[in-house]
Amino acid sequence: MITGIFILMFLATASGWLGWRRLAGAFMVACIGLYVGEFLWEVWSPTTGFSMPWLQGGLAVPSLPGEA
Amino acid sequence: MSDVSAESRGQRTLAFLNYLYLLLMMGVIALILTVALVFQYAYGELPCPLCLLERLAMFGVCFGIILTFRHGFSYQHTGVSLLFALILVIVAERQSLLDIYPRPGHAYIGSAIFGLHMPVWATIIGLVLLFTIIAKMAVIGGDRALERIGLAAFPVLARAGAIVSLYVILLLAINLVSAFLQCGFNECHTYGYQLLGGPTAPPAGGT
Repeated sequence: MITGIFILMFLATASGWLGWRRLAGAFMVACIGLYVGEFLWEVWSPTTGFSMPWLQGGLAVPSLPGEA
Repeated sequence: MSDVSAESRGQRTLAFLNYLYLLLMMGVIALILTVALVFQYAYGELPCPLCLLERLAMFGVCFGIILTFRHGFSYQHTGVSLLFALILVIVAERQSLLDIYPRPGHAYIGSAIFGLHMPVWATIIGLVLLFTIIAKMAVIGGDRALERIGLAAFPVLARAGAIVSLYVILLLAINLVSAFLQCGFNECHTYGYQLLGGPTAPPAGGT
C-alpha cells in the first residue's frame, strides 16, 4: 500500500508541476486518505489496539500531600 | 510619490524574503531526504513502513512549496505544507513512543546521529518545519505583497526554485522505485528488497 501512496504523491506533485492543479488536488486528496489508512493500520495491534501498554506511569512518591 | 515608492520597495522586499524563505525550507528538506537515501543505499539501512510515511510527509510539505513556486502564492499551498508538517510530527512521535521501550519486534532501528534515532529526528524536523512556517507568517507576513508581486519579479529565485523543485520530484521518483522494490504492493519490512529476492522473514534470532 505504501507504494500506492508514493505513486499518488508522485502523480500529485508531477501534475502540480505541469500546471494541472485540479488533478494534483484530486491525487493529493486520495494520497492523504490512503496515507491515514496506512498509518492507522501500521500502528494497530490485534492484541492492544491503539493503546501502548508498554508505557506505564507511576507516582514517584507513595502519595501526594493531602491524600490519605 | 516617495512614500508610494518606499511602500512598493518594502512590499518587494517582503515578497523576496518570503520566496527565499520557502526556497531555503525546500532545500533543507531535499538535503534531509538525500541523506536518508545515502543511508539507505550506502549503509544498507532500509526504511521501516513508518519511516517511509515520514519521508512521504516531507514530500507533502515540498508539494505545497512547489505549487507556490509554480502557480504563485496561495493560502491553500501554505495549508497543505502545514498539514503535512503536522502529519510528520504525529507519525514520528507515535513511532518514537512505539520503539521507546525495546522489546521483541520493536526497537529503534538504524544508526543514532548525535545519540538520537531517526524517529526522534523526524519529530524534531516536523516541529522545526511547523515552527518555520508559523514564524514566516508571524514575522515576515507580507501576504498582500505576495499577492501583488509574483515570482516573475525575481528571476534568479524563480530559476533556483524550479531547479530545487525538479530535484525534489526526482528524489520522489527514486523513492517511489525504491519503495516498489522494497515492498512491491505488499506489506513493507526492513529485511530486504522483496522484488530483488531478499528475505521475507527476520533472520533467526533477529527481530
